[in-house]
Amino acid sequence: MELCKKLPKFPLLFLPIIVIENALRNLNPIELIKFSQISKRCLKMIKYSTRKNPFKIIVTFSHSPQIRIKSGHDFYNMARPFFPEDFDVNLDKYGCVRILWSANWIEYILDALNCKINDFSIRSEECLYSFPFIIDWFSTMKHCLEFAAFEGQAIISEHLKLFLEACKTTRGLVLSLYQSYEILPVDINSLKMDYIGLSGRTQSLNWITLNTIMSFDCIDLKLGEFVFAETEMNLFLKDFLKGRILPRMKNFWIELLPMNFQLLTDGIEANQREKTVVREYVHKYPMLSITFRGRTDVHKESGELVTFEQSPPPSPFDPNCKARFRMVVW
Amino acid sequence: MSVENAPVVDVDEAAIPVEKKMYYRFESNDKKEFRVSELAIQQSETLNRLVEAMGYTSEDVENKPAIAIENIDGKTLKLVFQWCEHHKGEAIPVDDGSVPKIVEIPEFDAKLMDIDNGLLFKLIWAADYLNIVQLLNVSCKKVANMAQGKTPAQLRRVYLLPSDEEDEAAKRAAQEAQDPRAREVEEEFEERKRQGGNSFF
Repeated sequence: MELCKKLPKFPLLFLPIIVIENALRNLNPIELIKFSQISKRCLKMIKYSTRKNPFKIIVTFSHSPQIRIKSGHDFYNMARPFFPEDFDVNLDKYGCVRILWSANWIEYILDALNCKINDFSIRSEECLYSFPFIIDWFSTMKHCLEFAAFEGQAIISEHLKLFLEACKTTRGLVLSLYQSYEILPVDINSLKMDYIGLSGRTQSLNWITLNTIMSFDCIDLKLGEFVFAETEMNLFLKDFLKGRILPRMKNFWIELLPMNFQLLTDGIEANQREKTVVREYVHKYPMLSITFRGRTDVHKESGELVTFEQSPPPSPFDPNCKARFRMVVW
Repeated sequence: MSVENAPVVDVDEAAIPVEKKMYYRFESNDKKEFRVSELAIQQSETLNRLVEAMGYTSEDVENKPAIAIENIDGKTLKLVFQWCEHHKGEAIPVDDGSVPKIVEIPEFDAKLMDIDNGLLFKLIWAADYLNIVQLLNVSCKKVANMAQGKTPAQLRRVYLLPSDEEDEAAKRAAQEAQDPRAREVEEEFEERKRQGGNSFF
């Protein structure tokens, strides 16, 4: 009560509407939402003051709802400051409470701030039973996806299929499949995005063939723990250099068992560079900087220079330990 | 031609015509007079256009009556002109429409605006009326800063905002004041709807 008396008072509504808009545009996303909660008129004022898509909305369905807003270089947690009382207690008791609350709350934020969902992620084990609801709900939401991710240890084919269907128009896609069981293959042929990341355990990824990967169209491709042989990777390299596959690809990363260099480069004109030749590869999306010291140069038929390297496996005495193969187009 | 090779010319500094600074005279609605430099006036689009349109010479400025600004009082106008003099010659910012706006309050402005909210309110009105973009930006930023760390209930009290119920009551009162018969018709319509009638007529 004492605090209320001390609060400064300012008759905002007695200012011209254009000036009110100027003042409101100085508020950060959390303050904007708090202001919008005062009354219906305040909600209208916020909607009027913010132009379309002023912020990036990042949504993660996990154990604890995560709704974040990116504004410039700043991130704002839009969930925790707005949790209802005792929400943390109910969070553990009732999974449906947090999912429904998140869905309703995201809808409110999108409406108030004239935004669309830009990043959308689901952690499978936290949302196993509510997954169909989340996907149905997401399909009705305004979104302009730059990044979509489905990850976890409880992935099932049906959910993966639904997720890919809902997020087919995204700029970047990450599937982190860590289930300990085999799943039925899902059609992921001809994915077309700027960034694709497929990672997981060897057995959880074994349904993804090299032919499927060769059907993708992307700029960045990051693949974790696969079991392709040197001969397969040799064919992959040859097709890539001839421009038959992945024509836009600039950055490639895969974790494999260490490959024999002779078999890998069989029939390819490769040029080993001295370690004194230091080159830095910088990439904007996703933000990336790689320093190459020496390594192997090859050329695409189009004339572009390609450099690749195979790092030694982290545990040289473990026969199953994977090594990293990395390739960039300059 | 390089700077070293440029011909050196002796200049008689006394012969260079010195541009006379012109100071305009303004009068607030409580008859307080202010002298403001031509350069400082450029911060205000409204005043700048006004003096351009008037086309005063230095003599006119001295001989003619001060330009009256009828809806701003002396205390507010003093702050406005102090601000304009301090920021004279600075570029006028262009609004890029970004949210949140990137506005920094300089130390001078923070001290100038260390005033009660009543005077701040008048200052904002004056900045808007005189179209002083950057003064409006910093003063609006100061108003926005009042929201820091507040709950919706606190914000309502800080900004003196009506609740939904108060808005509804005000709307009803306005309707009644405007047209009492319209209100009666509306109530009759609501009553018939409650009774389950399909048609009003």
